[in-house]
Amino acid sequence: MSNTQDLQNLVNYGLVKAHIAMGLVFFIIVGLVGFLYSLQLDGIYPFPGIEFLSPGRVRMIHTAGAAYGFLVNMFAGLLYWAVPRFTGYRVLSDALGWFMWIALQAAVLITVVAILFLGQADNVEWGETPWWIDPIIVFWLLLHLVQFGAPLFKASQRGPLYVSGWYISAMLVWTPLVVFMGNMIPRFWSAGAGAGAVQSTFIHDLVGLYVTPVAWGLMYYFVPIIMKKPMWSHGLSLLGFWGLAFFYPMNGVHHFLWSPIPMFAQYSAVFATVAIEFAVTSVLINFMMTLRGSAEQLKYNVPLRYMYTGAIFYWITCFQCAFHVTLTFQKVIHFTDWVTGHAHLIMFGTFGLWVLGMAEYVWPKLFGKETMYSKGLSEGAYWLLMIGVLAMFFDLTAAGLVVGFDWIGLNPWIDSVNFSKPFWYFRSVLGIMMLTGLFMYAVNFWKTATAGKGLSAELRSDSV
Amino acid sequence: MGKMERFSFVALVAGVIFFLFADFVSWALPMFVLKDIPMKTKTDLAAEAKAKNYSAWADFEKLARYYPEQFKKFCDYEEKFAGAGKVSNCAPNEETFAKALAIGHRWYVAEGCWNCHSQDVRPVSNETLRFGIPGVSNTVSYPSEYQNELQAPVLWGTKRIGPDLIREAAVHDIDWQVAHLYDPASTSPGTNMPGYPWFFEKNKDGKLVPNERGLAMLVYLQWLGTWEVKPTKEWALK
Amino acid sequence: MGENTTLRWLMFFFLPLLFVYGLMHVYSSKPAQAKKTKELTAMEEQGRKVYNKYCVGCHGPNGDGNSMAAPFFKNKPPNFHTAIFRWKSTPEGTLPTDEDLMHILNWGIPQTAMPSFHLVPEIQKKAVIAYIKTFSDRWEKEKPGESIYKKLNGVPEYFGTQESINKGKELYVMNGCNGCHGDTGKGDGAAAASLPVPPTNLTYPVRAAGPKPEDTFRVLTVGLEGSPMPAFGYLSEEDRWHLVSYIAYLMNQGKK
Repeated sequence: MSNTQDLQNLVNYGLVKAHIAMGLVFFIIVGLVGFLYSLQLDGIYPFPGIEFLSPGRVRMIHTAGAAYGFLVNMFAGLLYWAVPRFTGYRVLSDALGWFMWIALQAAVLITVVAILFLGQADNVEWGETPWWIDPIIVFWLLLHLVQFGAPLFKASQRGPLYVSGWYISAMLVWTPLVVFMGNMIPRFWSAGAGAGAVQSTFIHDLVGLYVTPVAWGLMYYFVPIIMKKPMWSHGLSLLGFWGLAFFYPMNGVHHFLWSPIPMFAQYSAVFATVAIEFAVTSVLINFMMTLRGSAEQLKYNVPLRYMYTGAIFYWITCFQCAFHVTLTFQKVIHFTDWVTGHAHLIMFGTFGLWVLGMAEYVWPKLFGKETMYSKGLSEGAYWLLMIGVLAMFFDLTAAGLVVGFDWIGLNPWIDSVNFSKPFWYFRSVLGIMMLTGLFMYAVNFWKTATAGKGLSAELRSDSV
Repeated sequence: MGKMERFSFVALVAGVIFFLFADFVSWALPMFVLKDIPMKTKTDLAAEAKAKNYSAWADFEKLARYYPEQFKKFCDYEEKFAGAGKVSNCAPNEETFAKALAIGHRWYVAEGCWNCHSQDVRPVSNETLRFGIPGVSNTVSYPSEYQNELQAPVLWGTKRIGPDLIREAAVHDIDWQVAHLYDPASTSPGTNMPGYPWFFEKNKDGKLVPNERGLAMLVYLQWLGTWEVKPTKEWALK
Repeated sequence: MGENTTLRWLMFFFLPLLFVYGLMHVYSSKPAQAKKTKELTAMEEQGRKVYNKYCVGCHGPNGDGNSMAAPFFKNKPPNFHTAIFRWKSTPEGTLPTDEDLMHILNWGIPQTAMPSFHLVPEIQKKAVIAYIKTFSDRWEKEKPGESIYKKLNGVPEYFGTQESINKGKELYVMNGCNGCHGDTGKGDGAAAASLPVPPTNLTYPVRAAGPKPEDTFRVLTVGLEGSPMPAFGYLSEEDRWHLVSYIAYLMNQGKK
């Protein structure tokens, strides 16, 4: 497989390009609507009285769009790149791939129309897609399973799969199950506290059983490739994967602690969430030990820096999680901006930065170029995004604590809004910062794709 | 160890068995524990509201008295997505109440109200002292009150920008709700809640009044937690 | 001199003039009221801030009930300049006691647009009461009337018995309550639509007057000044309690 010609025959470059491009477009749209919604919290709304741009509806585009428009597109694109390369087999069918690409964009756009214009949202967080589109998404995910399952299955006939293969295999099976469970059961086969338990399991499983395994799978592929050395410990890889696979699906109910869900389910969720922290730490140790001796690459290799920044943010969120899922912490921080800060650090700070890093690594290669168009844009985007999301995390965490204690103190409701406002203003400013970073990133992508001559890497005296 | 690293083993053990085990613990068992609570339809809820003389029923009749023209329009209003059609007898009865709940709930979800308003009063953090009317409806959330069609999927929410709404019944009057829905800053200075002018129309005197959807929304809001609104203990009969 | 003249004029004449004009503008745009803002005591000034935080939306910046929200209300907010309050325990034509006003802030007036402010700190509620009194000079000239709570000796034993309810039901019709409040007490009587203030629904589980039967008894005794609800002080105390019993019966209908 060392031959470049062979590799090009393995990967369908068009699909990778199309998915990553759409993912980036949706990332910007999702960022814009998130910023628009943050303005509403500041009391400034540029479109008052326009029904289909009501802040409540726009907010659902922010979450559903991030899940299905941005992440699914980005991950699918990167899977089309990574899976054939580490298994050595092509995906099932290129035609199927293009059909799935069209179907995915159509599903997302139909969702946007249904939520904004038809008012047909579903009140499942992260599953705001109207209920009639959920079976289509499940069907899409089954195609996804077949499409990427084929090379993985073929490769595992020959011998053990690489670590990425475990994560991605499990994810391919989990995702259709999770989406089916989370969107269908609470609507058609249960209600009330039972539905609440399913929904909380769904919210967490979409992160834990789709986004996390596919992202870790890609990390296990890209990090050793970029650093040109193997992972530090195979044992830790095994421990990390099986720990995640066992404990992650049980975490969900921790989203609704102190709710009418029976307490045993709440306790088991708290226990599993604390346990997952150990699995996560084992993965992190593995990655950090792999970095040992190559850390100076972070200085000039932006994709690698994205990945390690995200990894550290991942550990911060999981460490935070192990504490704030306890019933004691929940008394203060449940329903506050602490949760929002946590969600942004994991979704944007970790998975967002990871896919941006991976895409930046892949993108020039897709166009037969050695580097991105501009080192300056690349660095600028990194720093704006990284500082923006980290500051937003601290800002919202602090806001959450202030408001949480304010609620316990039984002050009138408007006080908690007034106390939050400075934090919300700051968050909007950070939103502008992150959006600027995203635009710079997108411009860089556009310029790289359209640059006439081949961009070649500078020869560095200190590069290996 | 080699077997653990095959597609079929991972897909079966991690993908299916672990997933099913987790679902069993996380929601199948809780559902089993809760299985004896009867499931209520919208019609049941409407019948209950009338039979038990809930505050929401009084508010519903009041709305019909305050806005008779719009109420007539509401009777003819059809909304397939919410499963609400024309009603046969246009008066404040169970049928119209159930229809109002259906349409009100539909727009409560569609407008994303649940993104900023939770429907879950927890037994901690002084929440029972904050929500509801002290001595009347300040109780903790319990499973059976969610066991109905309007809580599928459940509307607990995960974030509060505005206050919890599951004890909203009788806390505010229809008058207040109407003004607040049109422009929240009018009754609650400093709020960052957006207004919902598309739930309003001008009547023939040129006054702003809630339209069909607005009426349904108001009924739904005033219904939330109405089952907890009972006379204080001083009012008990002998 | 020379080219500096313009600058000097600007510095020493025009800018101070602008400043003075600005000050005048700020002070002239303050809400008109019986007492000038600068005359407010520290307590009243504190109350003004509380008023502008919670009350101004419905009661209006001038305290006369002309506000953003009022056009939507069927039951309009009061005009504080007349100092006529409906929900009070003192006889008609007199001012309410501070306890009455505090009671309204804590309990609200259910079935009207006035919500409860029980979470607002006590000191702020006291301050806003002090501020509301600055809207009318009646508060300086007159004293609050005598609260009827002082004469009440709790709820009589026969309250809520079947016998009392039956008597109350007779009295309800005899005194023409049904004309406004309706035969079933739902506030939909024949005269209801033509009244400036909608009659209350007596079957509502929460009473506007307060959480206790004594509060409703008080309304029957002193009436609601400035609304069509008259005082029934001419009925004997026992009869009034029978009426409260009947209201209790209406409120408990269908419960349990």
